Amino acid sequence: MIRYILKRVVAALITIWFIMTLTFVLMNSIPGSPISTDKVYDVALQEALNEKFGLNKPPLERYIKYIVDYAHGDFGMSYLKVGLTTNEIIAAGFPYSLRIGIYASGLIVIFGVMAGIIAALRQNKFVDRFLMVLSTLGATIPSFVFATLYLFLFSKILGLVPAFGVKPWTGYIGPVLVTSVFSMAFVTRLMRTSMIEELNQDYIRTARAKGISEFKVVTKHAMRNAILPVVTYVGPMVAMVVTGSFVIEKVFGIPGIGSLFTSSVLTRDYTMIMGITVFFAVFLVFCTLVVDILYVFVDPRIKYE
Amino acid sequence: MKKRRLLAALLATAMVGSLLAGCGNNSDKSGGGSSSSGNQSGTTTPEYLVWNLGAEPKTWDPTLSSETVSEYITISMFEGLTKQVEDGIEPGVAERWDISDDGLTYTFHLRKSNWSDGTPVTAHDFEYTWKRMCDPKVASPSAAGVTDYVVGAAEYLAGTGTADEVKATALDDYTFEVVLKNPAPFFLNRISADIYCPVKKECVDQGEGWEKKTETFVCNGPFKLAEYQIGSHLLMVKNDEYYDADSIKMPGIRAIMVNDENTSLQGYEAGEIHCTEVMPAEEVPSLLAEDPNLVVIPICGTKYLDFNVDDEVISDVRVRRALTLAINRKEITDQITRSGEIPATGFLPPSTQKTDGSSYRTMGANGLPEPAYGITADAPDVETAQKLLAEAGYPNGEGFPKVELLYYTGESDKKICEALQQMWKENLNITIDLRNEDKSVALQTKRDGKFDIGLSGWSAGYYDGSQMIKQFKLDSGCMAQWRYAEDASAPHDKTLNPGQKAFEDTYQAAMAAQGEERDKLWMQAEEILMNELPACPIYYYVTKALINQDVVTGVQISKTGNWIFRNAEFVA
Repeated sequence: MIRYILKRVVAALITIWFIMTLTFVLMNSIPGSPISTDKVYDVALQEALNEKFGLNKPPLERYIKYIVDYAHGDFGMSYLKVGLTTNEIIAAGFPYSLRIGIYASGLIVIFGVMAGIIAALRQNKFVDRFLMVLSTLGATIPSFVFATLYLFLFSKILGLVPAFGVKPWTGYIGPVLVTSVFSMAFVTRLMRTSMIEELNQDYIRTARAKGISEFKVVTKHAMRNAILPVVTYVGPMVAMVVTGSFVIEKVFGIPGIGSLFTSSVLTRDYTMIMGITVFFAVFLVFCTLVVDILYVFVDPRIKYE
Repeated sequence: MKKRRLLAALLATAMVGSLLAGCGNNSDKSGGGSSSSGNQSGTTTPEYLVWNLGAEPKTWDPTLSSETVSEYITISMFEGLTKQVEDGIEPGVAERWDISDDGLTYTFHLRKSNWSDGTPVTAHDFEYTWKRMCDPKVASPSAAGVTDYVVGAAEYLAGTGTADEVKATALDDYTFEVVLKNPAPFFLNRISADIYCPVKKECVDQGEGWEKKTETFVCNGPFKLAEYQIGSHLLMVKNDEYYDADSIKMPGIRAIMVNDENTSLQGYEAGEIHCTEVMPAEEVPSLLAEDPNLVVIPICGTKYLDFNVDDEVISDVRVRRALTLAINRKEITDQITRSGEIPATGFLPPSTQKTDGSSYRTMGANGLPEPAYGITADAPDVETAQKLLAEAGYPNGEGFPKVELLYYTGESDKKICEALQQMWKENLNITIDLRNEDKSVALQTKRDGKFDIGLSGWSAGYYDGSQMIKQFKLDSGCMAQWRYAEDASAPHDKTLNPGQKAFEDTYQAAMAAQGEERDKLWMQAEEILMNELPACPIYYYVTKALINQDVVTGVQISKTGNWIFRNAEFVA
């Protein structure tokens, strides 16, 4: 197990290095730079700015500096948010996205799995049909529509939640719900399909024939097997959800990391783009690793040598 | 079994409940728009004024400030030699000043005032600040604020001079002297801007970002920093060390950064935001009609088209003129921008002032600018346009090659371009393609001259002719590629346009002139611009602001569009 984890960590480091290199190349090949402006052009000033930000150095030199700095955990200074390090900015924005993401992940897993099981048990009955209609809607209606409707009703008409931000705490409800809608719908369907498949297996019939209670059949036997595809999906899903959504953060006025990422790309804030990309990459790699380890506990057939 | 059913029912109810809630209100969205705005306001006096900036300011270190939201915050917390008020300027830290007869030497006499840490603000602070602005190591994006005017500043920035040669010097603790390269009648107004506000050396020495930490932040304006949370808000509270602190009634301002326009407007309607200029453009007409809290103020700026004069087709001035004349400008301001913008007939907006304070642009009885250069504000001159296009070799638009109109990503710019496309199609029978690029990309494309026509805009920090005109001078990196000689600011541009020479000469002459002669030269420069047409003006900018008068009074907007909170006060 330890050996397996070590192997995975090494693979992860290579992945992250590759992502950094790719990001660096892409970022430097798109037109525009952090100092491009629509102002009157002044040659002396442009030179001074290039010198200050090190943009006049050859790309290879800048690339090496990135890698070395990152190896030391230093993500560098933001080009555009004067005097702030990338680490500080991520540290300020991430907690919001993380909190929303964790609550949303909880909702997704609990409600998604439950709804999936219920639908599977009541296959083709009203409850099943009804849940499937809901999940289709949830997966197809874009999140900004949900977000706007939510704010219109609960903030504007009813005045129950703030129009923006997370103060008071009721401000979290909307973003969490809207964030979870899509994945919840997906997990419901995933769980339903795989549950139906498991319930038709021979060993379930055997278990039932042995007179085991239906509750036990469902929770101990069928669910344990049926949940495997969900576990696979949940790893990257958690990584995606906790790294924030640009749209949702924008509509709900939340100072999270999702909107930060988009704005840094648009303004060509190189250090911020790199910092957030690497941060996301590390997070995703970590989540997948956790899922792989979790498999061992969920499915005793899997053993890592 | 029973349990499961109960659970299923509960779950289903919860889900359908939230969904139906969402669907149901779609229908009454149109009706409910204004109803809720009245009933939530004015319950209790809030602790602080809530002001939505709509974006995170990059900095509020005055020297490094280079964007609007930075300026808003800087102006609230710092004060320069002069300060902006609603209708112009007033003495700020400088109580009075003397100007030499040649208009070149300004001697400022400073009042005794303090930094927010209680130490005195002196002329040495100003000397330090002004030299820091043109220090090449600091590389202030707003360095032009001194390099354009002050003797020795441009040389210091370019590395050919030293700090000691910059003629911005403290004669004693309370006398500050500035020597200008050219007489600048607007100079006292210009220096009311954020970038000229003093900074304290001991703070700056802590490194960039000193202004973002309350421990190292020191200012000299009416408010000071009490709290900052990246991406979320900054709290400014009354600065008791401000020399006029007795007249400051507002305990503090919470400047938040909600950038979604709809969310911002909802926040205002719910009474959670008291002041903001962030609102959806499409809501402005109905707000204008129904909400007295919305104010529209003309500012010094022009929306225009950049014509790439080096382009094969566009290089023909007859084509440029035909395109210019075939636009109905009032239709654009009435039907697309719809926020009180003024259709343009020349490059200089009505808010640009001559030496005597009068406007460069005369307004007609109908509230629109008088026709100028063949352009009428509310009607295209289709006949002349068609004639010019025919002379250029495209009678009735026949054989007109593929030409693109470039714009940045953004809903309102897109609509303007679509309207232009349609007007040109109808009036000239030519098809112009639209091209959309992300702003950073588009700016680079335009700098490099790889476009045909581009939608641009420019707003000036101060309402002097020079501020609007200067972007067409030789060394300005002019996007229209209009240059009579090669210049280091655009090494790629080898196609020269002799027509720009007269403009350049007029510009230089105007910079050196004073009084009426100067005014005349700016008008002459505009005339050359409008005859050569590297740019085609469309409309003049306005700024819009929602100020909840039920909660706060005395919030003002300066002529340059800055928010002023010095006189703000909660409604008791």
